[in-house]
Amino acid sequence: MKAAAQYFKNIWDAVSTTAAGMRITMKYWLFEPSITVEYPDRLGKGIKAEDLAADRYRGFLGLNLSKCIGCLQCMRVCPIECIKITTERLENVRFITRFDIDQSKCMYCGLCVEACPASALVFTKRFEGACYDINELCIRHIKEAVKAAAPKSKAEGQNSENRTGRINEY
Amino acid sequence: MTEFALEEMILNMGPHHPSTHGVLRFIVRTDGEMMLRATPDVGFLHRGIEKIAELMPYESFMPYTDRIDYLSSLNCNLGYALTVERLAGIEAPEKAEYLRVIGAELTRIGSHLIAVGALLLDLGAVTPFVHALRERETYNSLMEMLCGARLTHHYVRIGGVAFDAPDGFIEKALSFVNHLEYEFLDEFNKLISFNSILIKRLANVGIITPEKALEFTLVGPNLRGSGIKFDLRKDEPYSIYDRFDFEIPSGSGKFGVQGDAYDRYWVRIEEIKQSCRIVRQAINQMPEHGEIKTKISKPFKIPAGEIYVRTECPRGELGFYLISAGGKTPYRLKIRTGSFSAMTIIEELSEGVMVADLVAIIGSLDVVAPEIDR
Repeated sequence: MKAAAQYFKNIWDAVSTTAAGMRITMKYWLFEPSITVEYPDRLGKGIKAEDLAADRYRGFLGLNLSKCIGCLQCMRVCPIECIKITTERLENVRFITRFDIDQSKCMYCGLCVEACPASALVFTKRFEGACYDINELCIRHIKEAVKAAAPKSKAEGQNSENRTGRINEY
Repeated sequence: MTEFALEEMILNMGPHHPSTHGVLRFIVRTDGEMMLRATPDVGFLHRGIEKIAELMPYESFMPYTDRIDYLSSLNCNLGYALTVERLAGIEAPEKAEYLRVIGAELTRIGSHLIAVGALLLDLGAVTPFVHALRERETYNSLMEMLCGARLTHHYVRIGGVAFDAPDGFIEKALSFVNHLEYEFLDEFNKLISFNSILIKRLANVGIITPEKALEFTLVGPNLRGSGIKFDLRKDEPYSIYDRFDFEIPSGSGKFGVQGDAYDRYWVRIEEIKQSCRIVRQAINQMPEHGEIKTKISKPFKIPAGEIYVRTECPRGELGFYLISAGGKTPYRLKIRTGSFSAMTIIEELSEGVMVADLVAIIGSLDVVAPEIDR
């Protein structure tokens, strides 16, 4: 008799505690608005996924070439060596001849941005990097040699067309 | 041979199995539904982090500590930063210490949410996992506000933290912990924790007696689940943990025997509450203004010496043993993690249980595969 009572009590426990849980599930299913959105086309009109990211979001690295003084500090501090810079000196003028950032290697730690004394290297909010060839993610910021900015110069944003300069071959 | 002779079968569980939490392999000797022994085979995620540390400057190794345990990256950052700071004799400013504690406790909450959620998911309860992930999403956006990354935070630096708290962060963190402690956990417990089917699956499964827990050097919530109240935040306070008032939850055999899988699950639920308390106190005590980073010399060098610093991670004690020869890079860095010691006991616990219970045992020990192999 006792075993039978225990048997029915077990069934009752399972049913009643499950029903308590199901009530919460039903509450969310029927009365609460959905908390998920479908990416990327249901975010709302005119809203891009990048706009939803926080101000400090660590996305792709962006370079403001007019500020870059070619000090190579970002290249030295990078733990995985995904930044490659070469500079040349011609008649006492420093030229940056190469500034490649391999975004497929980058682990977005932010050490290079912190190290940059001229705040030329910044994080953008761009994070969608899907492409057919991984070499497309090696972003060449310089197409032809650019004069390095003088240290501590306050010239701003004149070379902005160079900022997004991308070449797809590597 | 009699009709009921033992018929052994060797079953391969993993390396890619949804319940192994990463790339982890078990060699399971079974007899029907009963398990004779499950031998873990680790090493699939070995990345040689300890060797990498020897090759780069102290500051540059910080992002790698994110990858020791990706679910609690800020705690790993903190452990490494404290190790280097103590050997170099640097002290972080007051405000940085508070920001570190807030970040570390929020990360502990996020990690425990995944731990309980994943355990329930392995047992077949999908809904609670989604509820836990919903809360973790708030934590992720909070950390995104604070440091810009959602998973591998890299927020703590040697001598302080990277950024000050942005506008609105404190208010959001406060409302998050209030929501967790007063609304979410009650609802979550009603939803699943007191469900009698879950109790049947977890109670009296994978019992670790206190003696056995010490024998296998279990750490963190797994040790506390066996009833031993040992928490480095209380017993050996690092950073500024001695300024906060909180309790150490421990297993008491709530629905079964002390030290069973349910106790370990329940300790994690209770620890979320305690972490909420710490975050609230830290926010109240934090100075409004102040330095957030002590300037370190460049290039950063540490005088020759050695040190072992242990901190309380969500998965238990995380120890860094650092030897410096005086150069820019460490001479040797040894990392001791909690998941590895949790891994050693699985072979012992798996003797004579059902195959389905192995999933509950692994989930309740909350092992993260990259932390085992490093």
